[in-house]
Amino acid sequence: VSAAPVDPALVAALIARDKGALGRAVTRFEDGRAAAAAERAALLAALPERRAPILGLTGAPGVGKSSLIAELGPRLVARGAAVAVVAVDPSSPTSGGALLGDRARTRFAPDERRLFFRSQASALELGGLGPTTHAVARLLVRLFDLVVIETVGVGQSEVEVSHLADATALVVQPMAGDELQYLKAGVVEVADRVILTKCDLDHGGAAAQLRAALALGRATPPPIAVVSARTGEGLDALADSILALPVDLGAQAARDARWFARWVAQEYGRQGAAVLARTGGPEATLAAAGTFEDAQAAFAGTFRQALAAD
Amino acid sequence: MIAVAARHAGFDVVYGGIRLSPEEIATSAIEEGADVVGLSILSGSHVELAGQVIDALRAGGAGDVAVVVGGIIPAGDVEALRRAGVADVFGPTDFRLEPVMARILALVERRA
Repeated sequence: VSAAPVDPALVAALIARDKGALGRAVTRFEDGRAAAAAERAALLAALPERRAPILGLTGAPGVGKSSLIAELGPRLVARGAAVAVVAVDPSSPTSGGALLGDRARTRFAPDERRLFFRSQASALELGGLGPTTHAVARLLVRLFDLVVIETVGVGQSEVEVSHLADATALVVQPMAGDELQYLKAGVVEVADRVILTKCDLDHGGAAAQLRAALALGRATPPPIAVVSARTGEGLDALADSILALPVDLGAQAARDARWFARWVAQEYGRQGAAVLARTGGPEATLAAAGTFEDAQAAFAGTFRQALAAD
Repeated sequence: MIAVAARHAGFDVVYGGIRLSPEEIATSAIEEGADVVGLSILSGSHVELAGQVIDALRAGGAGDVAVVVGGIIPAGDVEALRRAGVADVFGPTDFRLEPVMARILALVERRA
C-alpha cells in the first residue's frame, strides 16, 4: 500500500488544533472507503503517538447530555485539558437526512482551540453511534486530551458506545421511572458511571432511588454523579473525576477487531464478512497489517483477489 | 422550517441555534465540514452580517463554503448580497420548498 506524502503544514496545523485543519481532517476520516484508508493511515502515522481517553455519554433523548457537555467543556479546559466532542443524532429512516441539534445547545466559544465540536448523523446504524464515529475517534484521540462521544438519544439496549469508550456514562434525569427501570438489562449494565442531571428539579429522592436500584442490580454499583447544568451543582467534581479517566488499552485489540468486522460488513456486506472469516478473521488481519487503516487497505486487496478467484 | 425541509430532502443539517455571532457561525461551519451555510436573517442588517460570515469563513480557510441567505430581503439588496459573495438568496416568493432544495443541492454539487 503506497501512502501519499503528508503535508507537514497540515500536521502542524492539526497539532495546533487549527479548526479548519481539524474540520477537513475529520471529513477525510468520515470517508469510510478502503480507497481512502491509505491516506488516513499516512496521516495518523505522521501524528505524535498518543491516545487520549474516550468518554461515552449515553442516555434517553432529553435527559440533558448536550447541556451537560456545554457546562463540562469550559470546566475541563479550565483544568488544562483540550477536549473534542463528537455528537451523534439520528438520521431519518424515510429521507436519510438528519437534523443535528446538539450543537445548538453546546455553543463553545468560537476562538477556543481546546474545544472542538463535531456533529454526526447515525445514518440508520443501530446502537447509538454513526458508521464512522470509531474512525473519527481514532484521529481525535491523537490530538486532544479527552474525546467525548455523545450518542443518539437511546432507549435501553443501545450499548455500542461501550465498545468504543474507555468509560461509558449513562445520563439519567429525575422522574424517569421507578427502581425497576434501573434493574433491567441493557445500557444500565454497561455503564461505568451514572450521571443524574437536573438535580435542581429533583424533589423525590431520585438519587437515593437510583443508588438503591443500582446496588441491587450490579455486583459493583457504578458511581453516581448528581449534577445540574442549570445551577452548576456537582459539575466541578464531575470534571475532576472525568480527567482521572484511565485509558483501557487492555481491551483495545478486541475492540479494534469488533470495529474492523463491522467496517467490513458496512463496506463489503455479507460477502465481505465471509471473505474476512475465510482469510483469518479481523484479529489476524489487524495483526498482520499493524494499524486499523493499513488493515482496511489490505483487506480491499484481499477482497478483490477473493472475487477474482471465485 | 428550511432545516426540517432540508432534512426531508436528505441533507444532514447541523442546526446551530439562533442569535449567533458571525464568528460562531463560521467556526461551526468549519468544525462541521459544511458544504453550505444557510443564514436566516430578519434583522435588516443582512448585507453586513452575511459579509461578516463570509469574511470569517475566508479567514478560517473555508472561503469555498457556499453561503445562502433567506429572509425578507429588499430587491435592491439582493445584488449587494451577491457582490458580498452570497451564492443564492431566498425570499418570501420562494415558498415552494423543492426548488429551494434543488438550488442548494446545486451549490453542494458544484463544490464536490
